[in-house]
Amino acid sequence: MSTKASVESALVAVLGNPNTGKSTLFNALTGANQRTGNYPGVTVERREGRLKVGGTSLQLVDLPGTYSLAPRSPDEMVTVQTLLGNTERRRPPDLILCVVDASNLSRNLFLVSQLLDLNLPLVVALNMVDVATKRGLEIDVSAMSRLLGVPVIPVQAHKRIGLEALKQQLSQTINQPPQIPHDPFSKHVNATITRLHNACPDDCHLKRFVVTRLLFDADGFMTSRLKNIVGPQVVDSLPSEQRELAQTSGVSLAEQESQARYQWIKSNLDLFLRRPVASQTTKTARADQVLTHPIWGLAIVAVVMAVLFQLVFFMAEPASAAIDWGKGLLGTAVTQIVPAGAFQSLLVDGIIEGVGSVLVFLPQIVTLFLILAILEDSGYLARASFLMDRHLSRLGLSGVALIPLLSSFACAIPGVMATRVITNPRERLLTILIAPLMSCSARLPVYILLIAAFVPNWTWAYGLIGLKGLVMLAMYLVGIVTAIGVAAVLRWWLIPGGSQSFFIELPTYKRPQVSALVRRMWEGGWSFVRDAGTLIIAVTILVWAAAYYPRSESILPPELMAQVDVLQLDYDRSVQDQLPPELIEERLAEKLAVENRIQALHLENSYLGRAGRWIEPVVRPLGWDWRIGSAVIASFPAREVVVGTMGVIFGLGGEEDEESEGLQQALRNATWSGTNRPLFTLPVALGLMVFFALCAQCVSTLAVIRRETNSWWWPTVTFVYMTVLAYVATWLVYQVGTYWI
Amino acid sequence: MIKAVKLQDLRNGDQAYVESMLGSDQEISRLAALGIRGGARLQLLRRGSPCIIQLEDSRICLRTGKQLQILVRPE
Repeated sequence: MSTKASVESALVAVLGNPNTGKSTLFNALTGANQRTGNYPGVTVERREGRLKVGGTSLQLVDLPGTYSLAPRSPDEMVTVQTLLGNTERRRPPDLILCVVDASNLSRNLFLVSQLLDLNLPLVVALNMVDVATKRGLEIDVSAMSRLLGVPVIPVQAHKRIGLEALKQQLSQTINQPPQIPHDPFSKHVNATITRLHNACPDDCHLKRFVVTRLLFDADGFMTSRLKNIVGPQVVDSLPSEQRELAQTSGVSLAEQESQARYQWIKSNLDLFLRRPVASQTTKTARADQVLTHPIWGLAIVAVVMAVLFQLVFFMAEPASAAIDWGKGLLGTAVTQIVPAGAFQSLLVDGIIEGVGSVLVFLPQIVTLFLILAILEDSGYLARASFLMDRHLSRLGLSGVALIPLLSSFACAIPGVMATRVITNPRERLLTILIAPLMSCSARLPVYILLIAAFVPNWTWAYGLIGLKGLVMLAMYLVGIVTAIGVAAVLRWWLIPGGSQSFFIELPTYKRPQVSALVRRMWEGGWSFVRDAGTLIIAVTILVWAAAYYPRSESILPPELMAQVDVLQLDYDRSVQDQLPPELIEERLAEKLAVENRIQALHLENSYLGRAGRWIEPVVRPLGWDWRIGSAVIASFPAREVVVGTMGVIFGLGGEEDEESEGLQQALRNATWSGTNRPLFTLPVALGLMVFFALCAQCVSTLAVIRRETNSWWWPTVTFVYMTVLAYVATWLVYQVGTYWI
Repeated sequence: MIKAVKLQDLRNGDQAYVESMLGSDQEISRLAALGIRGGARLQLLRRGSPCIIQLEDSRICLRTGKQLQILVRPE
């Protein structure tokens, strides 16, 4: 036998309701042999893993948790398409592993019943048998297996109990379809299914399953996706068959399916499940008394969210300090080894800068994913969502959107990634699109600089209320109010037809597993670095090139060049002669001032500077000149870059930060070229702040949106709508402000 | 015979049977998959919108859309 992977491994589709421990079981079975990817055109993550049992090699595909096979979105359609083999593999799975919650069999068997329609080899993993036993439920596993006609293996995935038996069963069940035909429906429904079945073309896989699903396809979504597979004859006869079935029984199709299946479930369940006579008050019920309480519950949500926000926010501080330190260290090393010039500048200002701006987000992302995993795995997230839903539903969102939106105040990147907890794809998209409007920590440097330089230091109420603080607060409110407005418009676009019902299961509380937490942190961090990181570095290098090229000494006035040489000589001599330190300092400052002027001239002549002048007519209505325009373009990779760029443009060098008195002074002194008219007035400064509150000047956010929506369309929409809003709002602030002041 | 009432008219702790569900086929089939279907027995744990209901062994947080009405018959 050849050891090459020439023999294709058997494909196992893993399905189950949400909260059945499906992912835990999947991880326990496949361990580190996993890889994740995307399905084309949808946001669902594709997770696959390998497993070897004896000589058999199994390829497991983890499908999203679902209560039934009635998709209404492309994301949910992935499951049906995988079952039908309409994927790149072009064949249905060889085996299905359905994970069910032993403590909640009635509902879990609904999905099992739909899967039995496939008549494919199926293994049921009866998970959380320990919880069921604790609740006093007695399950006769062999009777269950006999009645369903498929193997049932009891497991406890989180304790890794029963895995060996399950693995053996999986390898044995390939090529072993269910022992009894699944038949939950009435004769009348069966006759309809058979008619549709006979109308199916020969090359259609799993005909009976497909036509059954299409018969109960309430809104025609699945039919439109599968019409090429089932052929025109089925598509044409479907509406009349559906009408006929609904009319003769007087019950809607949706209810006919559920009634038939629950009837089947009930008649079987009574034969293998014994319930305790009196139901006991569980720990979960007691905890929910407090945690879902309208007052105490909300207070606890507030505390939990405050802790989450603070942690994410404060992780950013030391991380960016450490990254800055590392960047400085590497930059100095490079300047010593690599001679000055384009290559040195590319290394320091392009590559090191770019890699740094990717790494700087990692601690926040990993922290957020840790907290999110704890909240979700423990079961608390569902309770917090219940309490917040009342408020967020007014925006067209559900309670689950709380965490992504709140995290976005620290940083939109982990915020957008946190939308993975939202299961409704349209709601998730809506949340992704408004998350970048929350004022993140990268806006703070811009606010601080401009407020310190231009907002008068007025205070009221004995200094308790200050105008500077109020302006800062107003910037946060601008983002929130705009987000509410945008949500209203997007909701009308994305979620037509008014409010849909929303439901979320409140799972039994449990202790999160450390290995699962670590895995989630790793996956969150890695998917950001892999998918968004490369784009961020590429754009940083592009913007560096725009600010550096075309480089030519010839644009510099000869007297300035001569001056540099003289000052350099003066400085070197003063060091050599060991003059008093204050004198050395003075000469250094003179030298730096001239060097900074040269840097400013280079920038003015660069593509970036030219672009700034080129767009000046566009930004003039905002009260901006080409210098502000260039700085804004340069801040496309990240908003805070605008502070450093303004430092260079206004001749102070790139090391200026928002607290710098020198930069504040330089901005106050700047005038329109050739006049005495000050460039920065209060309306210009306020306008610029509003611009940065609303614009999408953050390539990392756009890269993450691309990653999470798996398309270029949504980051484009985000960029365009935010930039247009920012422009209009800035124009209003400037025009109204100038008229008044 | 006790009259059927709307789900949101139950008080906390009330137990009831689902009498009928009015709404789009699509929403009804989604809820049915969860176990909320004609004849199912439930207990309202927290009233309001959204509410929490206990359904056999699961607890579900539910906000019904404008087009969906669940009628129940209290025990």
